Amino acid sequence: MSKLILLTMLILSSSLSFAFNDIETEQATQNLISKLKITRLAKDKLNLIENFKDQLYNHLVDVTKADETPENLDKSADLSELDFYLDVVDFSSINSKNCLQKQHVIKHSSVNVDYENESDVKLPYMAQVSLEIVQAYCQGLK
Amino acid sequence: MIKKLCSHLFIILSAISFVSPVAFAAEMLNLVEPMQTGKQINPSIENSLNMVQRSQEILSLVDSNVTFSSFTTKDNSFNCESCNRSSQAVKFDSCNSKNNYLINNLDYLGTKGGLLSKLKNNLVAPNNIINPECIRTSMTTIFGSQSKNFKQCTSEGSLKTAATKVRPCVNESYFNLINNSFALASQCLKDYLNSDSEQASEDILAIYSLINIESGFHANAVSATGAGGIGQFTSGAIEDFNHNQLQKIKSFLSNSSNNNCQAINQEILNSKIPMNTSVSNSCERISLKKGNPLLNMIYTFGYFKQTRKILFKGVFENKRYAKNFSRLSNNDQEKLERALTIWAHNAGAAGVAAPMKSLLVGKYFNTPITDVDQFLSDLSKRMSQTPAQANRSIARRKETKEYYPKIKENLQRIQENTRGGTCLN
Repeated sequence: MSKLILLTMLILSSSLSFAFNDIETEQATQNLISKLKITRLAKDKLNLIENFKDQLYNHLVDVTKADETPENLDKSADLSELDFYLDVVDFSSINSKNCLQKQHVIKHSSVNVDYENESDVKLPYMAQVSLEIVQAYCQGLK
Repeated sequence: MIKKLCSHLFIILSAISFVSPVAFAAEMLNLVEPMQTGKQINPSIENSLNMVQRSQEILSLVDSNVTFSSFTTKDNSFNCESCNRSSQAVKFDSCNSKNNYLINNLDYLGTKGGLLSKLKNNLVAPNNIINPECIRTSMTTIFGSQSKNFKQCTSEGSLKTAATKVRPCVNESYFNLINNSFALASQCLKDYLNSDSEQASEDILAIYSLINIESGFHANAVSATGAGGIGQFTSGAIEDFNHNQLQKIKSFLSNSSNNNCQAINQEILNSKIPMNTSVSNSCERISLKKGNPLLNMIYTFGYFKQTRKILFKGVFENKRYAKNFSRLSNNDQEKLERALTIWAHNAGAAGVAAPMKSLLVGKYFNTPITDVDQFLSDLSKRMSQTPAQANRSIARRKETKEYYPKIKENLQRIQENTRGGTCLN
């Protein structure tokens, strides 16, 4: 039984290491993705993205300026990484035809690490989140 | 038996007495990896021979200061008799059965009569943007002659199963192939890298400094995890090049008025995917028969261009950080972008941008960068404090933090020991 608990804890801790260190941003991102999926007009989708990026930037400034605790440093790193992926994608130029191409930009701008096996190659969590945002942006785009 | 023992003892003693002052000189020059001093020598014959060989390499480097002077001419006529004579005067490695394994492949190139064969035989010797003396320094000092960071692919296949080898000996034809390939890639892609000629030369110097650390300009250098060739390409970086740069470079070269640049298209980039991403085909990253070292060099140039573009888009174009870059002169902005691009070769674009943005909203919040070197030094610390997720292991924090400073330091040392004090011709 104790082994099972230990195993569960290990699995949980390993999955957490790939997730957001910041609950507030995690919730804001999920909220954005939901809204993007039901919004049709490009202009409205772009507004949602711009508001999210403003929030993200302000939060990044606050977190980075706060004490340099390990937790804050990790949050700052996550937020700045997400901010970078969203900057790489020029949302205003997205249309239904170039969506896949825009997703490639995120994939190719992630971290360049050489892994022991091909199966080790995982897209960083922040890149995965950014991809979800682009996919939601593209969904039903008019 | 006694004779054999005596000869072994003689070799060890001569190695100890010979190496110590040279090793000391080398460490003073700081050009090579730390060498063992006489006191600490492991009394194995192989080790002693290795030390003797490395010492000879360092001595030949000192010689090369003289012999390479004729290579640094800006004269375009490289097939002239005097150039060939001076090329013959250069001291090259004496090869042995352990390190001459690339010779056969070079001989194979010699029979094909194509671009690589011409480069090897000095029949195409483009104008060197980088001083050949610097290329030779890289080839002979970054890896020791007994270093095992090299592979030999007998047929196309995976680097994983390819035989591990010691550093290939740098003989005349191998040096010519490497030096002339880099000169040709630089000449053909200079304008592709940067429309400003002076800045383009600086970009090429940056690529030189990067290759210097990544592979020591050896076509068959391979990392423990399979990154391979001149630019130490990983699957991800190859995919990035194939997806974003291949067609652009092909198109650029096809418009070149230089026949040799067009020949790159026709002979090196002629297949649909010149370098495959899959590990099972990873020999393509190093194989001479596949067009290396020129192929891997073209990939390194293109990847440099692509990474710079991504960093520009992901950091410099964001108006929120505009104030940070507002006081940079054009020269300083170029210098900063170039440094970040070099860094991203190891850390990835996101691996540079994440700590950089964290620094811009922290210490540099609403503050213009006025000293690029200071900013890069601050960024080095940030690399380990706020790394991107994939760089968060202790080993990667250390590696990415030290990557650019190490490249800069190595370039500085090489240039200090080069005639004229610069590797740029």
